[in-house]
Amino acid sequence: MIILVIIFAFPTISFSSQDVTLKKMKFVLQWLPQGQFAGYFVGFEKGYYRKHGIDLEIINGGPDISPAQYLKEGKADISTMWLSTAIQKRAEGLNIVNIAQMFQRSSLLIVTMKKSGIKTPKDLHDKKVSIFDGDFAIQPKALFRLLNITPQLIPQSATVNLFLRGAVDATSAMRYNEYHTILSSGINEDELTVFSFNDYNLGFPEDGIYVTEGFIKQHRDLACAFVKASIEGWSRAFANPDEAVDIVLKYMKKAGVPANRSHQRWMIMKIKDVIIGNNDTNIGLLSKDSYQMVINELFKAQLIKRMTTYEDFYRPCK
Amino acid sequence: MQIDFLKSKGIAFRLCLVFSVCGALVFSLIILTNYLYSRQKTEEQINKEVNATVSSAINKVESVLNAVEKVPENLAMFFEKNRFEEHEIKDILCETLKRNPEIFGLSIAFEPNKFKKDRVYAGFYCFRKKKEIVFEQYGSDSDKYFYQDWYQLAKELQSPQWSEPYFEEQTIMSSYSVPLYRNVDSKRQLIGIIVADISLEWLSDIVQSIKVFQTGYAMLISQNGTIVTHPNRKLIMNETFFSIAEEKNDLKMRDIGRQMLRKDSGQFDNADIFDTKAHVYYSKIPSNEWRLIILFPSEEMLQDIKKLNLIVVTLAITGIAMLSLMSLYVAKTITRPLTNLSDITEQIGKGNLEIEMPEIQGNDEVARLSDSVSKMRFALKDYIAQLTNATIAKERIESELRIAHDIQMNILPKTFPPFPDKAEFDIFAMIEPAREVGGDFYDFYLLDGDRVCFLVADVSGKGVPAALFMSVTKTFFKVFANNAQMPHHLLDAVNSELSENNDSAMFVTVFCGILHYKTGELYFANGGHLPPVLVRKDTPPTFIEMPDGVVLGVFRDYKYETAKIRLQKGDKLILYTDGVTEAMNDKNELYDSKRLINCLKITSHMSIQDITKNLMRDVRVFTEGAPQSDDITVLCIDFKEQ
Amino acid sequence: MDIVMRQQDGAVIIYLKGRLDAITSSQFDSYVSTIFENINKLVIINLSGLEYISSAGLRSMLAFAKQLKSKDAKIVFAELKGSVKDVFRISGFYTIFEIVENESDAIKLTV
Repeated sequence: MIILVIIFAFPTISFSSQDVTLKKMKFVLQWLPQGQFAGYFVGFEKGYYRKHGIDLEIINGGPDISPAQYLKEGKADISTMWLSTAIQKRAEGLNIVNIAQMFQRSSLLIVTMKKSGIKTPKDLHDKKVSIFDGDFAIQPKALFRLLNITPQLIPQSATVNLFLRGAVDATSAMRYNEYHTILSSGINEDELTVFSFNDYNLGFPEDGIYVTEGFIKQHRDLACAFVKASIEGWSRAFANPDEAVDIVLKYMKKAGVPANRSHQRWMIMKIKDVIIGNNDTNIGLLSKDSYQMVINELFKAQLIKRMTTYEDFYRPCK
Repeated sequence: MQIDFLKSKGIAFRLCLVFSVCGALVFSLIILTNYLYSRQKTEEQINKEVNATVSSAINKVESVLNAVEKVPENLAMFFEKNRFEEHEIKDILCETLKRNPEIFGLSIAFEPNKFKKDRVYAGFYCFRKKKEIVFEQYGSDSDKYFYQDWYQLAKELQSPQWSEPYFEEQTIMSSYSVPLYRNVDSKRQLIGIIVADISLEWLSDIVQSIKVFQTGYAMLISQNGTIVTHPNRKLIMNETFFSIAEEKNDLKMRDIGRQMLRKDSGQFDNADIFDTKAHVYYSKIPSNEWRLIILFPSEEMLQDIKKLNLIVVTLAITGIAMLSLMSLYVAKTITRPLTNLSDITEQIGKGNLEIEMPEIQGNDEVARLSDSVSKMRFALKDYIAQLTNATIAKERIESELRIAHDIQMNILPKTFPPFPDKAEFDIFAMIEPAREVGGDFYDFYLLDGDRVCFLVADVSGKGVPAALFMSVTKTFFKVFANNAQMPHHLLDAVNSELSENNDSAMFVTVFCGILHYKTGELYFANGGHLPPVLVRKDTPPTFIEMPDGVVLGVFRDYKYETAKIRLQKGDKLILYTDGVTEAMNDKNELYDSKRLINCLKITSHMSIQDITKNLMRDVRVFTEGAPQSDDITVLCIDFKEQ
Repeated sequence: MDIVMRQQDGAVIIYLKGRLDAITSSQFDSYVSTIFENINKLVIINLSGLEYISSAGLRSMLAFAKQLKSKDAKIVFAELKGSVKDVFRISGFYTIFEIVENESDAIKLTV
């Protein structure tokens, strides 16, 4: 009896969602497809956006694509962006607002080999440290300033090969990405010393969902529907990591990006930590403290000249 | 239990079992040895083959890589000494590229402001596009080439470096970067990086062409463990050795990978990586420190050994079966005649001596046994015939002896009281003959002058001779008794007759008495006999004093003597033979004269019939069923009180 | 029954041990017939070990004595004991045979 109800109930739901007139929406990612965006791909694949009335188009990011630029130029309606990036863009005059802060903690690490003898960030003084360029460099530089040390900074491309070949003593790495690449090159976790910026009051929240102020004025419901569907997508991805990995790999293959399951699974599981953390009631929340911490650091680093208020910047749904 | 079971199974079965078990043991040893040996040999051969394959492949790869390395290295030396303008650089790069077909592209990238003081980005690249050679310049704010791996690795490590493999237009590539230095103000300064890009298709081809026997294959991993070539193309560039291990949650495989990257070469036996158990060999490619890995599935290696073993096992089973059959056959040829012989001897045992003997050929143990049985059969036949005859003869003799015995007993007086009209005395006698014909006898006769003569005699020996001698003696006594005045006359006469022609030295002991039954005077003579007992009222029974006298029948001229006593009324005289005193029980004790006296003491008041019967019973009780070896004779004479 | 023989000073001495009855007397008979050739003048039969003698035993002695007589040899019995002594006395052998207490007395008779 129950089985019958379920069988009949499912088509009913899907048919009814078909009936609603779908609104087109373009979504640009801040990087190439990978587990970092698993929730959106899963939500898309599982029809969650359609369910919420959105006919979504996902635009892959990449080295040459700036989501802020896409929003500005109207090439996309909605995008993901680092909080620090978005704040800088806003300060530069681009009227974008945060409607959900998905990654609430920082995944950025500085990694060294144990055998290098570096035990605390202070030991990095005068050492060769490769760090990612751009917004990835904000936290390390803030930390070095704080500790009053001057490591020899080497610009870091997308890889950790400098570190793996021993050309640098320490490297920056995202916990969900490059850190696993190091492990996948045959280095064991117990051979590494890892400094997380969360431990030094520099845990910048990362990926958030952004739209322009104009968009939110006109399509607040749509933006909120997007957030809802995205959260559902992430929840499903965390509940079914194998399925999520399959979906992500499918999109990576489509984009011609080298991919392997273990790396993408790792990525999804690590991202689960920063989205849900200890407490899943606050998914998508940008706390005022975090916002203030980031904006202060950006100001100190003279990366921004004016400060947008929390209320202006953060426009959560509900 | 088991041994009993085996024993019950017969020689053929046991022989067959023993041979089979021994055979199985021997073959098992052979199979085991063969297995271990062939396995070792196969492994040695495979190791040899694989090592040869590995080193030849690495040499091939090295020769190409070394040739490639020379190009940017030479260019670096060239650029170190000379400064060139843009068009010159183009010519140098493109000309060099033209002459080195193994290279895909050649490039020189300068440090900021090192090509020209006011020029930050200066990258020159000559590469192949289809069949053309194309020249390009690169570098801009959005293309900061000096932050790229190929640039940074050579720069930071200050030495030529091979890059990790990368994809470029569906082709796996790798780049060899050589740092370019120049002395500026007597200081060695980095000017830029010269880099050669090569396609790794040829490398994949070399690696993929490696085949070890049927299923062995090769793969290549980079310094970081990235899969560069593998029969499964999906893994290439997507996976690293360690990501595969992680996906399989296989810490052992991860450990194997780490060891491979740490050491120059080595081997893992029966490593379970890439979904098959395999012998894994690895070796470093010296130039770029990648690792060539050869996997040789254990199954194939074992297949040959298994095949060989199957043959050996089949041979062994066949061998054991043949051994069993042959031992069964041999055993049967031995035991069949034995079984036959066994049947025959059983028949013989049942008495069938006429049974046909089988013909046995040859001169082995069985033939000899058969011969013996045959001889035994004839011997038995003869023996049985003899025995039958002997038995017939013996039975005849025995029956004759029985008759003789009966006759002998019959000639003794059996009627008691013998002289019922004589009130003065009474005589009672009993004889208990031994199984054989014996030599005892007694007799009594009335003589003239109110006399009665009585005697007890014992002929030496037993059997027919004794019986005959007894008959003769008895007859002599009877014949001579009437003429004898005194007992010694009688003994003299009988002795004289018996001694005549008595070569066998048979003799007879005799006690002979003549009683004047009116007066009680008793005259008696002794021929080597035991003394009679006098039972007199109020006096213990005593042996009477006897004159000397030798046994009768030996000394012809011997003169016997007569003694005399006077009996009182009521006296009883008990005569007996040595069957009484020498009656023996099963403890080899003799009844002897003491027991005789004791018995008579107890029975002295009784009648002579009861005294005799009691004495006989007492002897029987004493011997308790021990076989009676001699006649027992008792004769009592009672000089009645009236 | 055990029979042992030894020779001393021209005399043959036979020792009998055990029982001399109907069964063992034939043993004695055959024994003496085998040694008969060795006998010269005197045979001493030492009966110190003899426990029992039956009438068959006596007969064997008599027969042996008779054989010796034909050879003109002498038989002497020595060291009689117990029931054997009784039997010899009762059967009158004392009166017809030479019987001595000790073997050594018998040997003197050879002279």
